[in-house]
Amino acid sequence: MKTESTACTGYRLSRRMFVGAAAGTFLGMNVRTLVARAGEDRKASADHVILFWNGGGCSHIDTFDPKPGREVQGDFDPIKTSVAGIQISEIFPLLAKQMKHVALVRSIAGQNGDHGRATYQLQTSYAQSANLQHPGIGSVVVSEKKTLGDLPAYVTVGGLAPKAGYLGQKCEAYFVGRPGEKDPYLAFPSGITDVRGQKRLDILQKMNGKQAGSLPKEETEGAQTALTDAVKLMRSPALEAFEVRREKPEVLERYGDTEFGRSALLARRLVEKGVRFVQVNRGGFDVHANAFPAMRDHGDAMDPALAALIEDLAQSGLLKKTMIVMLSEFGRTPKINVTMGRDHHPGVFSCLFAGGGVKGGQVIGSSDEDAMQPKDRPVKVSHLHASICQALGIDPNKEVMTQLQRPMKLVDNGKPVDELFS
Amino acid sequence: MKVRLYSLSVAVLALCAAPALAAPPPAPPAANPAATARAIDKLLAEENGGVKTQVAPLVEDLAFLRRVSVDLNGRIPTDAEITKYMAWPATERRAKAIEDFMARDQYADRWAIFYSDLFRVRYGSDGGPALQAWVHQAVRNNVPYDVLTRKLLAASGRAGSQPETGFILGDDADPYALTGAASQLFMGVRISCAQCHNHPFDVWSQEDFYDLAAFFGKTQRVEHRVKMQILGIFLNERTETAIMWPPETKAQGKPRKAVPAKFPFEMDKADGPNKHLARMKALREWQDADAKAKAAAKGTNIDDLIDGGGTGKKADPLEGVSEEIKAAMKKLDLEGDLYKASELRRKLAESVTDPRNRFYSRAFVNRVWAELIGRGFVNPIDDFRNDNPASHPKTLDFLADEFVASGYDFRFLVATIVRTEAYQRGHLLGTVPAIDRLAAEKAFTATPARRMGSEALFDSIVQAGHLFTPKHRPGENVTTVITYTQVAVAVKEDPKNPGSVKPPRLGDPKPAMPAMPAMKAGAYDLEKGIEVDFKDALKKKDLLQLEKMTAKSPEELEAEMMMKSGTMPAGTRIRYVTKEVKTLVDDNPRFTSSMRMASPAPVGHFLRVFGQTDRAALDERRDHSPSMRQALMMLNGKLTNEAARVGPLEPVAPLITGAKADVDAAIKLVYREALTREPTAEELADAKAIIKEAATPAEGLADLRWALFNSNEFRFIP
Repeated sequence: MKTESTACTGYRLSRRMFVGAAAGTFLGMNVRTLVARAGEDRKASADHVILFWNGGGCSHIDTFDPKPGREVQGDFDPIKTSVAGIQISEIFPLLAKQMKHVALVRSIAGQNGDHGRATYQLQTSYAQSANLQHPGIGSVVVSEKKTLGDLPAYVTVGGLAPKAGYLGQKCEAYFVGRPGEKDPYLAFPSGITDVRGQKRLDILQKMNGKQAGSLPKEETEGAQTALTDAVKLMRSPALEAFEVRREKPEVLERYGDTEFGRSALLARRLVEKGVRFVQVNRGGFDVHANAFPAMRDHGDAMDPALAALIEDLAQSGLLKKTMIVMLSEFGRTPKINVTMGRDHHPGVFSCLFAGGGVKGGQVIGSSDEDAMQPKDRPVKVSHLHASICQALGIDPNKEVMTQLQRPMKLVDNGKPVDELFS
Repeated sequence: MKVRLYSLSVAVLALCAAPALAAPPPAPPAANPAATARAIDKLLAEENGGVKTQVAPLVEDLAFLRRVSVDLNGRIPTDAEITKYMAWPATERRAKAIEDFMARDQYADRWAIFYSDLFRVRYGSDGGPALQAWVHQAVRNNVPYDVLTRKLLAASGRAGSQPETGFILGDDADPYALTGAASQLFMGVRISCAQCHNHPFDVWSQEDFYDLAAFFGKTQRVEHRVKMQILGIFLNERTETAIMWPPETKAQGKPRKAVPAKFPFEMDKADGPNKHLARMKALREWQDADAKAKAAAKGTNIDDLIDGGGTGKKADPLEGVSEEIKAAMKKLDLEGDLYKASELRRKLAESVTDPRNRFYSRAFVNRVWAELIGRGFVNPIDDFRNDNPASHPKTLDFLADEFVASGYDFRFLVATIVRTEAYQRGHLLGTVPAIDRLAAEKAFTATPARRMGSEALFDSIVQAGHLFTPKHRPGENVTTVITYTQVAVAVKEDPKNPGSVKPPRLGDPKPAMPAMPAMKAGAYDLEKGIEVDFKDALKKKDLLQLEKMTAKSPEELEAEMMMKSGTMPAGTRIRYVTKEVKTLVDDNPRFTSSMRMASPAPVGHFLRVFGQTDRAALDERRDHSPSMRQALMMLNGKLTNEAARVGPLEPVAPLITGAKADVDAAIKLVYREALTREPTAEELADAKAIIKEAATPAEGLADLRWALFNSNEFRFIP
């Protein structure tokens, strides 16, 4: 049970903001008052983020924080990487060769051992509260950054992204169920030719035009904008980014013929078309039993995809502007249980950063000898979020107004992890 | 258990035969919605006083029918309903339509959604399915709102078999979350802000919050497990409270002591101007006596009467469960009944629903008023504060008091509001300056333009497109459906790197928890859950399973067998690859009501895109504003496209094709079905041109219909 909520810590309301807020709602319009901090022009090192979300709680010991020679080691041996002195688990042989681009954080100090609450906090930086829906980091990014190109600014693949909460519907992720499969809503339905579809749109336009005047302008304008945007997206050549199968077979093979491989490839193609934030979801890390075969399978899928993605982005130069992050809600217990599994362990766990201004080839922080607790440089969850903001030139402490005119910081009091960028 | 008898509506009781032995007490005068509505309009006018606002006339008869149909039954009227309505005498039409719509099952469907939003019913949470069904049944049986509230707040026992426990379990029995919820949902007061700090603009202090929280301090969620399997989730009451003062953050090591529960909301000291407390007491006494007499005569279990019988036939929850676990569960069921009732929450429930607690009655009537009219007396509807006063305090209090006097009769409340002129007024034209429009809407001399909610929009399209029943003949819609299946492949070890691949251990090849609900795109899954037609057809024949089987090669089947039996040759591993499976299906579209699907729908679903929330946070409201995704789903979705397509079995078919075709009649019918009105002369001419230019008249009519469903007029309630 939760003892104290931190939901109200961001509470501050100045007289000036209150007056502004009241004026904003006076006309009954759904306004989102953004209260910008004066005078700060931040430099962005990244334009895009690809967030890999490992749902279920990914073992840190079996991935990025191996503990060779200890009882907690498990089945896997550490392997050398392309950076002297850094070792990772043997399930990532290809990724090991890209280590010069990668920074690992091995000292995340989590607080929640419950999937729901931990996921909420890792994805939003805030502790879950009954009163308020905090936005996910992807929504934060697209609320602050201009949309580039025709595609939706925020795309989630293979699972759900956190909600946009008080940042509003505009900042919700665009959902792609299965990479490579077409979204049926992006084209006229089967049996409706383009000519006929256009005719339908013309009929609709005329119909709505005749009704204009009976409905409030602000309402009809909103509907018209939504319609225009929808048609624009349907016609955008950028849509081909979703068609992963257009890639050469060799490329598909390099990423791996797995859903995760195609997701990583899709993420690359989307970023190339200007998408700001891609979240790729992968579940199945909740390995309470038979952890090691499961983790080896995960490695088989993740290793080629991550390595190929980093390699391709580095080659095209886009890695400089694209921050890759791999996160999970918590780690797994160092102690291996009787069913050869590992249980939930929020005490310390790891994550991966690459690109977008991140200095590769380094490890930040460390866990103790059995990976139970942070040994040095404990990193709070909100610091990870602040670091993503930092890369994109977003002030994590900027306050935005909720619909109920309560100011909230974009990130829950996070401080960027400076070493990432030095 | 203290038996409460007053949960049956007057109407239901009146139908039952009076018992022979006990002399029936005289019935108090029944609450009268029409008279109450007139009194409200009068009070509103008084309270508006000298303030001059523009006044919109009452909407016309057909617009009223459409409005009241959406508001009471969650969908637009059919052509037959229009004909029936217009055949009634003009002076009785509206009252008859209200009665008619309120007597139907769809009334319960539609208002169960309102209650489910209010109580944040989540199908996926502990006891969620039972709670959703229970709420629906409560609306159907018109369980008084105070009885409903008491049950939700005071519940104990097992999730599922005690459906009302779902409310407390929905917040994981967390006392702080429940304090905020109880206060905000039932009393319209955002006391949760006072959890961390004294409220800056209100009277509630952090102590008040803790006093109220103490009612939930002993509430406990208990999981029973046997061998890692959760057999039951229970709501229990423990002996020690979790609520301590001062708060952890302030205590700084100093000792903290248990907070005694205290209800911080002030009660009315005296009866109201219309003696609502005395009237309510008299009504309840009569209902008590009457129900007791009836029960004695019939030998009926009182609880059955109150709950309106069981929750219907349930699927056997023990199917496929081992005998050992069954035995353990049976033992738990016995224990489940013995789970400790919460004296604290019972007291809280009594205080919250005390007729002298105006916070409670005001908050609720304000909510229902806003749901029907588009604006509350207090806005936001759950933010009652001294510095956020009601626009019409006397009217609000009058309605709240009459609601109490009616015995918290929800049907009475709804019937009253839809009979007011305030409800029946039209919108001001969009050309009227926004500031004048808002002033009129605030004074209730005009109604704000409202969009249909997601369920109403969905069901209205299904209705107008004749998709509740198949409109094509069998075999007319045979199509290829592509699905994907994972197949196992045995892989040889890499010879260049021996030992790099270890043989797999036995176990679940797909690890336990797919952290997020995986939702497939394609094939219009986001309108499914509702769309049962071809899925059912497939299930019966096991066709999909069969196709998936035949899609696997002998090697793949062998790999699966080896995997299952654990007889893997050395140096071999199993990998999974995705295979495409094509299946021929007669995709004759049919949709069921979205109001009866498990809710909330998954993220990305049509209902969610059009405003249904996930019912998690207290702050969440349905957002009906337009978005690009909405436009895409309406332009290209299966629902709109199939609704527009003309099927041979629907009424318009013979009017558009064949020897007896009558294009004018077809267009008029489609307009009535979609917009609840006849087309204007100009619209008729436009529509004829569309049909003439199209490849076939049926295609032209489909294009017209598609545009009608997508039009602003369709989505906005008149």
